[in-house]
Amino acid sequence: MLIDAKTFEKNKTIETEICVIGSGAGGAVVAKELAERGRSVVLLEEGGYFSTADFNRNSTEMVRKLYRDCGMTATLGKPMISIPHGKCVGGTTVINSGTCIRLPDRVLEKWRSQEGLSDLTEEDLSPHTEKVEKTLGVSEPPRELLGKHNLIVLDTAKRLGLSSGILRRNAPGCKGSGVCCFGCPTGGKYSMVVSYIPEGVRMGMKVYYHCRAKKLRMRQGKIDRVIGVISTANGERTIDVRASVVIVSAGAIFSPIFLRRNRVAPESRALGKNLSIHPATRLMALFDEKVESWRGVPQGTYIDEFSNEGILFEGTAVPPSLSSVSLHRVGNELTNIMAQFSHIASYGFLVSEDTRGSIRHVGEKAIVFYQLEKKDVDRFIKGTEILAELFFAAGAKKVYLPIPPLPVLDNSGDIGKIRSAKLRGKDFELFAFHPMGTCRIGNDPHHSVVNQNLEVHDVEGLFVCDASIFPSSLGVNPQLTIMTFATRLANYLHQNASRYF
Amino acid sequence: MSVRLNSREKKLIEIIADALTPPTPSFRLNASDIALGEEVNAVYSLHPWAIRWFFRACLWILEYLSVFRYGRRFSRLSQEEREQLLERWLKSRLYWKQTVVKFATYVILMTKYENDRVRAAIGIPDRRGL
Repeated sequence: MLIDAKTFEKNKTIETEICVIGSGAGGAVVAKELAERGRSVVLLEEGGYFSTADFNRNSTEMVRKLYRDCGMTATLGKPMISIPHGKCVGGTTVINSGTCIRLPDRVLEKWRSQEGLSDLTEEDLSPHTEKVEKTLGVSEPPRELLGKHNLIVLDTAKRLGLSSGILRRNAPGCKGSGVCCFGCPTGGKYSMVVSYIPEGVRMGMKVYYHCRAKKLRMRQGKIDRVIGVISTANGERTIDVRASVVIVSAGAIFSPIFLRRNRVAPESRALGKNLSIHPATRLMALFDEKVESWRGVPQGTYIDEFSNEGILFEGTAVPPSLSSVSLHRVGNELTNIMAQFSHIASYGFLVSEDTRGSIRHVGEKAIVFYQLEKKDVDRFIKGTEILAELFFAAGAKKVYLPIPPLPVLDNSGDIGKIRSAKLRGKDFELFAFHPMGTCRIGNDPHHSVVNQNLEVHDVEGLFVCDASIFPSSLGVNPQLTIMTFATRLANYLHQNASRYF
Repeated sequence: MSVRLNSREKKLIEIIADALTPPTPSFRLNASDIALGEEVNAVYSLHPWAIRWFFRACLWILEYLSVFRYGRRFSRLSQEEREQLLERWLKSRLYWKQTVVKFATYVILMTKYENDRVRAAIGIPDRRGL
């Protein structure tokens, strides 16, 4: 059942076995998996509920409805990095590109060898990944749906012998509408709101939206209840959820804040630290031929030739509104570039970074500290050079850079200017879509927040299940890995039911 | 703080928009043709208060700080001077200048290029046809 908590006329108390906070890739999956196993599950979501019929392709309206703070969440540091993320039933899965990449072996090996996470093996995780992939219909889209902006770069990369391919996505019904980031208007992308959540509701799960989890109450070191708050026109209401298991899935920015505000894991020096975000950027290029980047899958192809160096290239289609901002031009020149928008292609890359940031809070507002390190700036310089070269090799007439002091390259001979410009972090226009690591897994309660079963050290029945648990950045889009861990957690709770229920 | 922008602010938005993307032979629409001031106002009123406050501050900083360089407010400058000032600030090594101009132009350009008439003028089909 999906219930708008704003309709409550008085405070409410609910008895349940499991309370899940947050309905994104972690929360929705673990909630549905547990409901399917016959457990009574309540899911609290701060944002609103929007179905496929509400997604009208208007980016301004959708950003306001689906994104936290109208998509204007940003880091403090140089450069200021925008971290847009979802605040609605389904969380960021509603507004992501639907890319599903398995956790790379090298990352899992590093976690085992350097972090001592011996339980996390491929044999342990693979069945859960396969289950998620099956549920979400993860597959490669057909080539005709990819859109020219993806194919121009992919075909050039192949011609130059770079390792590259078509991205697998959880969008088996994709029609190539090109607006994944503003809610899929056809329901072809299997975000949580059209997949796990309706299935969980069918199994008896209750979803209360417009309800922000505020307080966590414990009794003798065990979980007792969660108190949610609902802001209505007639003042504040509360919902008191009595549960023996609480799963926090509020994302890597808000999960540590929720735990800290409730004085959980006070001895852990890792809570809210170790933040990685996969800083990313994009280049645009002007072609003689029409590209019409609004048609087809926005993020459909990748180049992973440089992933060992921490650079992963992925397709991106930027709407005209965002493109106009990213061109860093003024006057007739900007008007004329935008008049040729149908000839502009874009492509991006993310960096698996060494930089680590931290999360603090003032009241309920998150403050994200993140200062890009020199080593990562070098990765951005290298990534920009490679992508500019690719665009020129593909026949681009001009390449527009995400660097306000050096906004455009007229030919491949100009690429040297990128390195000679002695760029610093603040010179780049960056975005980040994958905050991770702020409640990291580990064996030592002082240097981690949760154990290998995702249970908070020393608090029985309290779990964290979202991207905040990853001990390092993944180097790939994290949603499939989050869902894998959520399925694994549901399995663990089912197998240890007598201990928790 | 008021949720709505006042008429001076709406006019200033249209002036900044026309400095950023003036009408040219290949694109003839100017900001007042699409009532951009009103449209930004509609979008602006839905934003959280901190964003509204910051946007408004950026508008007025842009309007008045040009006095130090040109002896006149931004809205009294010629088109050429406005473009020069915006370009200089966009490329400035002073981070706060970049931030002010980026944030003000972000809201204005985002709103302008989401407008259906503008999208049609640059060749993007009607949303329903996609």
